[in-house]
Amino acid sequence: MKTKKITKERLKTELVWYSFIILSLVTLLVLTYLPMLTSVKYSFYDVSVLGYGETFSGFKNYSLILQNPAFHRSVGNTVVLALMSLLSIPMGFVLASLINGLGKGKTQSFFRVGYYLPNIVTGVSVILVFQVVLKSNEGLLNNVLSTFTTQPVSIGWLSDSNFAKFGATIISVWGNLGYAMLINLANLQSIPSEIYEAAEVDGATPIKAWIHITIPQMVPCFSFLLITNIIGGLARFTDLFILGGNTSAGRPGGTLQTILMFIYQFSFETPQYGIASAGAMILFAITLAITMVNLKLTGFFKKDER
Amino acid sequence: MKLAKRMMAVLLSLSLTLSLAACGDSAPKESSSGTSEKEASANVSEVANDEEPITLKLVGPGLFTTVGETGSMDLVTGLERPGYQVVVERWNELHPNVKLEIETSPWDNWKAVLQTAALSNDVDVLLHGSSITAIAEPIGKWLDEDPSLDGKFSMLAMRRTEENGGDFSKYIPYGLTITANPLLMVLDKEIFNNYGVTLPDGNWSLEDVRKVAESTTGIDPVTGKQTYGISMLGAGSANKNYIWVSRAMDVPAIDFGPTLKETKVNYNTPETAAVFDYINSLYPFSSPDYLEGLDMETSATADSNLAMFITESSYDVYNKLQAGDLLDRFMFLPLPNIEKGENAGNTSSHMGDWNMAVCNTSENKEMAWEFIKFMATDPVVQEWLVESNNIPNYLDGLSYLEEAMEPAYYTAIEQVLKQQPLEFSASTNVYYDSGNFGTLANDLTTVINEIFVGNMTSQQAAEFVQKNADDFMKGLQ
Repeated sequence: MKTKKITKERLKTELVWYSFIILSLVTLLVLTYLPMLTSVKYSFYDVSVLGYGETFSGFKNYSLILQNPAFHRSVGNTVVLALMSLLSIPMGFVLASLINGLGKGKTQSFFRVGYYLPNIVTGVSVILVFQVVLKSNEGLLNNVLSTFTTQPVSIGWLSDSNFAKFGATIISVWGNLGYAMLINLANLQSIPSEIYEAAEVDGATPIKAWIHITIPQMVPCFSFLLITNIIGGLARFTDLFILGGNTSAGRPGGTLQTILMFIYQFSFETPQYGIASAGAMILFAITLAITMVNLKLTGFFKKDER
Repeated sequence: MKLAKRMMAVLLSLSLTLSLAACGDSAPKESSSGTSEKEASANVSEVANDEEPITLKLVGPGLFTTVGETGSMDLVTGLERPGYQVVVERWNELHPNVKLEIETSPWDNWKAVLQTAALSNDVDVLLHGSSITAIAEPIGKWLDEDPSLDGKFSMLAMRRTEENGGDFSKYIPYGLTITANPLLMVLDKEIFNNYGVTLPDGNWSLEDVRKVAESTTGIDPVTGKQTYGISMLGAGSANKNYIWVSRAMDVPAIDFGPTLKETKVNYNTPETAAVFDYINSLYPFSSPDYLEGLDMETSATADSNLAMFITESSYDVYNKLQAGDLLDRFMFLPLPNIEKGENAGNTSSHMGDWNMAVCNTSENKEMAWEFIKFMATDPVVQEWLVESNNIPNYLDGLSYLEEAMEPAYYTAIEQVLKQQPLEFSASTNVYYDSGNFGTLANDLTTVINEIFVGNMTSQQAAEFVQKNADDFMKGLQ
């Protein structure tokens, strides 16, 4: 009888606590999980207009999409662009090492803030600036290359499909470098100085210490940046959409069309929500698989195994 | 009992007094609302007071969003545009019992916005919704009932549909076009003059365009500055260049059947490759910044280095020229003539539009039609459209435009509007279709850009577009 009373009281208390989060739960359910489940449903339906004439089509949307060369190309573009944008990690590490070497002080703060600034600039402004920097006709980069090679260079970094991925990578690396630098720097500064002191006593040169102490200590940081960069790369959209003249065609030549742009195309430009939803499910599966592999490789599950 | 009777009598007298007061109140409001009372009361007498009190809900993107309720100011030219309050006030004069509720939305995801509104039975008039045939009501029956509208519009919002057993090969009017945006060529007369090139007139050919572009590309003999002959529509929307060139050359690629499945698409022909070839032949006379969309920086300014450029926003260009006091230096021309076919001799300029459609889930369809007809024809609205820098699709409304624009500009617009076949839609026609064939629009943009940078030949471009169209059509089977 006593136990029952306690349970009731506990329940009452817990209900009070749950009442605080009920609004968030309902919002999450209605605005996140319900649309997600609707997307799963739509991926098995033929839907050109929402709410009108949805017909069950089984796996037809998946089959269409998986046989579509444009989808294959968009998957390839997404993966290549995501991998290329990983360049910001080693560059951020080198930059962080250099800044760390300056010692704590105003100079270090100056460079830390200076390199992080690109992260707070609006994406659209960045694209507009880089369109001028990377243009084929007397763009800043081409002018620099012309000076070094003593030959006129007119590469369409954003207008020629043979070079556009490099141009897009320059923009993403420039945008992410500051963040990668900051995370690397924070980790560098958290490595205990005793380890370096011990190594120095043992006669290790600075380069050896860097290779045998710094880099192994930085592995968790690299893993974190790797996961976040790859997931960010898989969801890349805005900058490439603007570069393509506000279309999802992935200009030039479709080389910058990512999976998300492919999905957008079938969601809003030529609406076929069934195909778009199937694309979204495939993207979800790819992201989940890559995240799981990353988590496995970086030892995230080790705690549970123990 | 006596008390109850007295109370009843008081209540009845009260309600009678109130209802009489309400009747008496509405009349003076009507007579005092308008500036031109006689005109307003003449119109009002036809419809106003016997209408049921209802609310018409309008949802969608376009002009109402741009100007807002109380108006907006153009940041470039400093020109002010009156808000849609003007329309609401005029409508309320004519229909005091029909309240308008306007929910404006941006162009982003506008189709999904309209579909969602229709799904929740929360919309009567779809702003720019005629292309979503599943939720729009065909307006043919109303047009048939109202012969006064015959020949009054430059274009109708024509679409194809298979909905309800419709014949996909036929155009069906799904809405009234309120404003039109004709594609026009803007010419810098000074550059023509400096090169000693004769100005073309509105009766020119594709070859004339190419020759003129070639002749005005180079170092300007008078100013010594580099000039370029032409800037086509931005490379990001190169598909739109395909529309006007293929239309001018009359190279149809789509043979519409009774259903989408029975429709035949054939872009892999020598004629289609010739269209790509022509577009590519203009590219050498464009600025090297064209592909990056950076060539228009000095267009329509005193520092202009483009002899010609194509615009989809002619009124904005006009305002820019007016603000820069450059109206004498520039002029508009329609795009070159169609070379063959039933429209031979007419301009190949197509038009974009802002249309209105009746939502098929509306419970007030008749009144919704009344509203879009009002928007498309009412003189006060027509004047407002011009004041808010738009080109009315209603041909009688052009008189307001004629008053507002210089003849060298107005004439070209008038020519395009008057030569436009009523049964033509820039988004679905025998040359091009942006909505029914998957990625066709994007594919055309892609291949034209690839041809420009030399990564594709015209033949390869035609094959690429056809392959994707075939894949799409296979998916329908």
